[in-house]
Amino acid sequence: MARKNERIWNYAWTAPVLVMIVALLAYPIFRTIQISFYEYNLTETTQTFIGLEGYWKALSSDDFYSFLTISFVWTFGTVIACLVIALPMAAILNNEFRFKWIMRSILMLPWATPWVIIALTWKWMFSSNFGMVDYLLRAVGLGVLIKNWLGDPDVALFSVMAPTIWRGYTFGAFMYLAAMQTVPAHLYEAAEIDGAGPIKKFFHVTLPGILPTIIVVNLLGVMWTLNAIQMIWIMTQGGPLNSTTTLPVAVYKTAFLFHRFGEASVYGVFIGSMLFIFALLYTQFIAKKGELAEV
Amino acid sequence: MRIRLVTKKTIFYIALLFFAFSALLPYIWIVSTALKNFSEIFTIPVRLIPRHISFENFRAVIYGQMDFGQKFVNSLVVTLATTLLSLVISIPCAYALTRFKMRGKRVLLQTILVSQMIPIAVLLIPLYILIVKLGLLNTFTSLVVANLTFSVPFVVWVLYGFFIGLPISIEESAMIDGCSRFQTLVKIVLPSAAPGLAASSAYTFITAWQEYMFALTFIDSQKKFTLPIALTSYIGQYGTQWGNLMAASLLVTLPVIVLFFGIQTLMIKGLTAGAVKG
Repeated sequence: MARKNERIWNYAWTAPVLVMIVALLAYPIFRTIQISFYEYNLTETTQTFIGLEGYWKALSSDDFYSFLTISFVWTFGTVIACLVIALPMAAILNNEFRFKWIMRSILMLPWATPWVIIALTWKWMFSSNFGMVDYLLRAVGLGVLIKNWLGDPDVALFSVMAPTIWRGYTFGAFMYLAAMQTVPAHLYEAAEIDGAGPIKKFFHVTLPGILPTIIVVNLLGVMWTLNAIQMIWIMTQGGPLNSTTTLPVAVYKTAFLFHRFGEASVYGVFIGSMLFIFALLYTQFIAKKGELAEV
Repeated sequence: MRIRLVTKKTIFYIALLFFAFSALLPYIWIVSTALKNFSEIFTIPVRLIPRHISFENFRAVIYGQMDFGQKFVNSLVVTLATTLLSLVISIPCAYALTRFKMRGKRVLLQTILVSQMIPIAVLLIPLYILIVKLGLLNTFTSLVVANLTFSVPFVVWVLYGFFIGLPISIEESAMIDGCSRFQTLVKIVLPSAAPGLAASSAYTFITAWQEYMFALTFIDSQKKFTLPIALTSYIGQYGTQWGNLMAASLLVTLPVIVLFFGIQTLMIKGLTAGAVKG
């Protein structure tokens, strides 16, 4: 009897977290799915059950596919760009040179900068005539490339991606750097004996050695980037002409600007199911690496 | 051979400088704008280095209409409450997960890991409806509660990693000497896990300090704005005062950078050990 009591007390230690998970994470997921079956407008008092109609409506509208395409370009464009920039940067930092700590600190700055500040600053950098981007382009004689960065529907998405990449690659670079430092030195020595140059060594020793880290960082990157609303919201609010409206931005806009909660929840369910796949891949990968195996 | 070595070094340093320059670029622009007076900000051609260095923007931010002080206090209250509450909730859970025999441990840990990935787009609508129903709209409580959705999973995860590495023998001897579980936790475990507590609270502070989406959705009245929404709400109002905004941005960023560099090694170690064990 006493033992049983003790057992129950053990669970009590986790109770607050359990309550938090149920009330603030599980219940909202359930609610989002539930609301997606309703025509739920906060301004009206009645909510009518419409079943799957909301889903058919979404799947047969052009807007939805445009949101999907934009989400796809936004997410994978950002993540791939981050990877391509972060790898060489990590490789460079993996060398010994003077004043390395200063360099490390400078290169870490983007990672340390609050998102809101990044969004604000880049909005101002992209501003026409008085902005820094136009100024720099003119200064190096590339004035012809100047665009209406945030106002042109063909350009805006890339203009919003730029600061996201600027912030994102530093995280990857430092993760890759940490992983590179664990690649055993004797592998490099062996490669050198085989006559491999620095580039060959990078592709045949470094890259395979840090591959698990690359996979984890990029799975996280996909999830974080797809979910990010604030960068887009502060810089363009999804405009011009919906050209930067990713699916999560569409959720926010539909719910809190147009007050159509049902439709927004339908989008939410789509996002949730897409992320679920990535989250599953991620946890499987982590579990395989032994992080949870010892529990 | 000598020439090849020199070119190699040159390429190396050029690449290094390029990375450093691109990391610094927005900061150059922030500082440059913040130190210019109003007319120089809108001067063509643009000057990177202001001709007249002026602190009028900082003065305007601190003493002006922006009511920066009030917003700073709002942010501080929400952030500190989030950090404290997250610790209070997470510490016993992480401790129990490392010390007690419990069924469903693995499931709980996996849930905690996955819950860090629940998209905000899924949470926002139901939480908003919930908060309206509880009459918590426009309160700091709503923000603190919503912030727990991202802070608690992270803190539990990090502390779990720290607690599991601590030797149990000291705790056992303390308990033989008559300490209760709770006393052992407070007197022995927490002091030895101080770096983990510091890192996870600093991280929570940083993320809560810059939290934007919940604040945007749950707070209507200007008086209760936190710094992030206060700053963005100034865009477009009577022509954006970029000088003031950049000065304010610097002031908002400063505490984050100080904290971030304070825990940078812990961050990298913690993240690589927690997420990327290898």
